[in-house]
Amino acid sequence: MEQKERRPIRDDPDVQNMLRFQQGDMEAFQELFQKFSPAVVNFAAKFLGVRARAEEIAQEVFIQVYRWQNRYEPTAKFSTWLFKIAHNHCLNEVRKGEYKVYLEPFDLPADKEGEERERNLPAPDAERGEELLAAKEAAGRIQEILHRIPDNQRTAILLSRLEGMSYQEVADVIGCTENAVKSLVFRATQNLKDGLRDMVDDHEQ
Amino acid sequence: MSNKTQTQVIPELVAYLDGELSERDQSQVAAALRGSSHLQQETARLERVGSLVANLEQVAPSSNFAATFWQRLEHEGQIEEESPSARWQRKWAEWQDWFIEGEGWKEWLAGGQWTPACVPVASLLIILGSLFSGTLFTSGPSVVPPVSHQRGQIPAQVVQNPAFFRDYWRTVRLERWAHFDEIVKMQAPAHPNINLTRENTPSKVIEDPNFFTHYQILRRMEQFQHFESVQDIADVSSG
Repeated sequence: MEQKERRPIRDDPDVQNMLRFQQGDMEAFQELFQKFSPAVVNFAAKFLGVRARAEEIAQEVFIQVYRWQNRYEPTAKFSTWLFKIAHNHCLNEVRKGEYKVYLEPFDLPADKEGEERERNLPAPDAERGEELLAAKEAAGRIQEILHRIPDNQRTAILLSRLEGMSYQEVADVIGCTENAVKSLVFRATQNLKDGLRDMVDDHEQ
Repeated sequence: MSNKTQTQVIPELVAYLDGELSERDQSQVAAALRGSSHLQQETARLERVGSLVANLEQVAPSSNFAATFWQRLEHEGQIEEESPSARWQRKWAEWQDWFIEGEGWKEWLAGGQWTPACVPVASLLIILGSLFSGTLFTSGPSVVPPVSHQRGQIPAQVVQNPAFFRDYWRTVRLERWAHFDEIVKMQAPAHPNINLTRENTPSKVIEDPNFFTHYQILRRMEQFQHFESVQDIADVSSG
């Protein structure tokens, strides 16, 4: 029974890359870094609300993967193990207490290339402009609410919505039961719904 | 099959939308939805919230993210190859970091998890650490006058950007270790994407494994133009 469950996980290309990396193949590690680092940066940025530190956290996460390569066992997807490390790093960061007040808007890219890309975009028409403004406002408010809700609710909603993880995978990351995740995702969604009531109701009409 | 009440169904709605319910629960919720316009509206609201979160703009890594990572990793490799005494010195420095930054031990003390037995263990660790780092019986550069960290003395940029606090403390401590001048003298890079090589890294930095992490931070601070502000702090604290 156990072997039946493990076989598909071993066939997963990310797990294979991790196993190759355990055998000393640095290219496999590079592939994992390229594939997953944007997602880890995104998760950390949304979790912390601070882009600059999110990049550092993401780097620390992959350094940990490098250091702990031999601790990985192919009993779960690589992404679950990776986000477990990322979640712990983010929790440690939040517990330092520096992120309670400061929130960065994420609408503008931090790098020069991004600014250049934005300048080269065609001028938006009025309708599109309104949509962009609404999306920007929604993003700001979501980020604000995300920051107020308990850490586990935040992780649960981010992983299930942004990473498309199943409740079982989120449970493995957080270290709780699938039922607890069901409740966390529901409460997080309720909190967001309460905070975005006008937007959600507007949309209904 | 017993029907669920509205109160029982509402907490299941998100899982229902996510397809995370058992087949039985899924069909019970579907049945409840068919019979209640209130539940249908609530489901639509929750679905809308879910899609707003899912469509949040992706925060992409900056252009030098990968390059910085591989440099950090390279330095990690060098730290792994360090000698046992250098490793002890680094551990001691990390412990000092933890102690100076304060949060960990304050929480630990507040939690009341410590016992009197910890006192002799901590004393032993301090003595061992001091022996290995050479700070117990020498008046080396790490024994320095205390630095006053009044809010007014911290540069505004550092105050405004919380991500910088940790770096700031490290930098203040670096200054005590007297490497600060050497780094200040280094030529500032023309382009923010610096390619750090063994050749353009100061020898003291290479020789002192404690320094690798701090050095990276300093270079990055320099890119962020905090460097001069931090120098000002150095003047205040030494004065």
